[in-house]
Amino acid sequence: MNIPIICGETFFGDFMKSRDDFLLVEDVKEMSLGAVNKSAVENGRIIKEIFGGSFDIVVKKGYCAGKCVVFANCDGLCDSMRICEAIINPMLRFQGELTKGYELDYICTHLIYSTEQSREKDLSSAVMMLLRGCLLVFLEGESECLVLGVQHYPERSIQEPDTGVQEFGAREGFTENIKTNLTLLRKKICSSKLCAELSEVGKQSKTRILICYMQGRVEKEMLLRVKRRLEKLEMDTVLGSGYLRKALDTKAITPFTMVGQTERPDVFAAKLCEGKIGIIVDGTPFALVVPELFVEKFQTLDDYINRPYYATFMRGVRFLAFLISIFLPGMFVAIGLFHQEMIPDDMLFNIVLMESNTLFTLTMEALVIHFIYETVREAGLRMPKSIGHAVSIVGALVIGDAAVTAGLIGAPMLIIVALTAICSLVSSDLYQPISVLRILFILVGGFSGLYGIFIGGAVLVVVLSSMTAYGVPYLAPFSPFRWKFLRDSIFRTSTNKLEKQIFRIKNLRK
Amino acid sequence: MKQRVSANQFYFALYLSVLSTVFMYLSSPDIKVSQTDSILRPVVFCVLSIVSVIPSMIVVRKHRQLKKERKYIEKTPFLKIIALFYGVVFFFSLVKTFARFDLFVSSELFPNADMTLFLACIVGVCVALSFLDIGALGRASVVFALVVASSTALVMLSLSQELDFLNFTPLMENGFGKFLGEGTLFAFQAMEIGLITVFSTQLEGDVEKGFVVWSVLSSVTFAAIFFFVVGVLGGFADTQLFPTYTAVSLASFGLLERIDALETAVWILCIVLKAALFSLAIIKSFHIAFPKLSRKITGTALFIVCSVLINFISSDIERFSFLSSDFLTVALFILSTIILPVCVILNMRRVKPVEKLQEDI
Repeated sequence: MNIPIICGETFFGDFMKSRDDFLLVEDVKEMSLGAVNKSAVENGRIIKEIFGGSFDIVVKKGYCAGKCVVFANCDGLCDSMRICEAIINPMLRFQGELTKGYELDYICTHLIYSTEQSREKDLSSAVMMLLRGCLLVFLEGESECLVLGVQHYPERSIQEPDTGVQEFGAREGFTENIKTNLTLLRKKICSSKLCAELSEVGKQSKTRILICYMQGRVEKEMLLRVKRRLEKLEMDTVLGSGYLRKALDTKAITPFTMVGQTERPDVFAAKLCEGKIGIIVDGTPFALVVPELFVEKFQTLDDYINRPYYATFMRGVRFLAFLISIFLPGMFVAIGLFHQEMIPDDMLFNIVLMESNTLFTLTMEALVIHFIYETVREAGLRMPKSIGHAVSIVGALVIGDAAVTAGLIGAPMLIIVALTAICSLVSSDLYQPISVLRILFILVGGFSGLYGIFIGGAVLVVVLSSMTAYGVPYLAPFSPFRWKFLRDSIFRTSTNKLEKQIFRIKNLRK
Repeated sequence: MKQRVSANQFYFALYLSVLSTVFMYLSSPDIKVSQTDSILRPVVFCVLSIVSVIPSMIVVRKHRQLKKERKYIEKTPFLKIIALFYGVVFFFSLVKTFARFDLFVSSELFPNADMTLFLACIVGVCVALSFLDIGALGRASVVFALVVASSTALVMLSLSQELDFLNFTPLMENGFGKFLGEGTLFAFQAMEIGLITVFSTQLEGDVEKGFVVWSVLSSVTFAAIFFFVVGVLGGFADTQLFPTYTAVSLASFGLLERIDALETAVWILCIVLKAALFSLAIIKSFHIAFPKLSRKITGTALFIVCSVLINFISSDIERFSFLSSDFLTVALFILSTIILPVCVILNMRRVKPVEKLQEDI
């Protein structure tokens, strides 16, 4: 029975613990296979046995200079052609004699062609390398095996990322391959200061991660804290970068996050140059960056390519869109229910006329339309692309036209929701908190009018102010106020001014 | 670990807190708002606040000198008694703030509505915010200040068309003594000065300079607000319970015919911040007085007691009158800004150097 296991507890909770067929994390211990056996055949047999005869594990026996040699690899993770041509063929065809006592050295230096070579005495570690796509070579009578890097993972080509789309930026994005991602990063930062430390997370998945930073620019204490947090991560499987957020994020209870995410090598490189720490996770194109500030959610790479006045204007637009997407529906409900005197008479008359034909109250109406919108959006995201147009048409016609004609919802509210929906997509990183907060503000506005909304706004600001990660406040450089960093916040001054004082995240620490 | 807050951020919070007093300034038969003297009363506030803050400033300095001895100081029984007094004083101030807000809401905003749940929610929100500590409140106040300043400027701009210079009366009409008395009473409403002693261990940066700037800036803002109240309303201001609100309700901006709801909502930011600051001070004081009492329990108790008390006061205007009586205002101000800080200083003088204390232990 294959049961998902999560962080020391079963997926279904304690009540399942009594069942005999249930596997708990506590029961799963590291399988120790001991040292590499001197019998090459025996090593091959053990490998076959521990994988239960899995068809992708290839164990091949042969002879090199009269000595038995066993090759083991995982099919699909290695370059088979390279194994045959550069390793197996030269070894099996070798007719001479291996230097006694230095057999493995001789093989490495005279016979095979491989740049990535290492030796392993522990069989468990050797098996782990096999799972990483390496070829294991066991030679009869040797207490260690050769581990040769012949990896060739199936991967998609480098494509333009779907998220964080840039108008004038590069058209390449990260892939699922950790090595490819590091190569893309090296292309962007051709400096010896760029450091990428390899580490592993996940007790079972042993997912490889790269902790990237720029030496001399990153703060050592911050780096140590990131490493410590990742080491302490109690997780069974790590299948995506999002799994690490919990460990890296701020401890404050908030819908916002201080862990940035990007698919773009250029953005990632820029963040590292600011002294931040990046984490590339194997198997996902989304790399993480810590710490990320609130103001960065409104910045794009295009801002640095466009003229400063236009970049400033666009940042203002994005910030305004963020405010509209959170507060507008709630404010409309609040004004409509409690503060009608604020609206000019003519406009009020039109709104009353249209809203009087509907079934629901303003609050209910707003909630219903938002529910429908979120449902359509989720359906659009999850369904097969081939039927996407059908859903769009149903959504547009039913919600946009029929619902208003039928008197289920009012046209003004529909306009408000449509505007809000568009605005919420401007800063896509903030979509998750926006969609939840918007609903909360509709409820608060319907309950206590503008006063409630402002109290809610106050709570939101204080919560945002309480957020800090690695000593950097989330609302910096606005609060705490840092005048010299405002030049690249909501405003964007000229490149000359920006280069006079280069932004470093450590300068924003409290 | 205690959060630290820069003096500037802290004074931003105090500025907004003290501003809420003026936004909800109550007119009384004894002190007339309509007199032009009210524009000059903030001068008395400025002078008195600078004088009365001296003991608190000495406390801050002493705390910085006695960094090592701080944990021993907090354990002294005398300081626990002082902390208890502080807790009670700020509790009264908190209840008074909420009671005034309740009066404002029930008389101006929602005259016919039952405000029990609304007030309980606000008390709950303020107590919950106080758990985020002074650092978060200080940082948030910078953002709040921006919102409040821009909205107040907008209202002033809008009201400038309504100004009538015939509304201004001659200065010191009733003599300098009366003016001084009224100004002093106005200044004594600034209970925020007492908060400096409570948060003295968490303040960073130039506290003295920041206070002077705060005092001057607050006085200028008060004077500007009273200028518009007098200039727009004139004698009519004396007939209004909340003259500042009445003046604001005359403002309009572009498409928005009345922006009083918007402005009032902004004021509520100040009240929330003030209440959160006082709640934090109460929780902190009680934590020093009773170290075994957890902050969460103190906060929950504060929420319950405060909600019940406000509803108790809300039902009877005489109870509110007692709470905002001149005697109580003066007594609480002197206690929190002069007597208790002096007691804290005396307690610090009694503490031996840390080496000697460790030997004794």
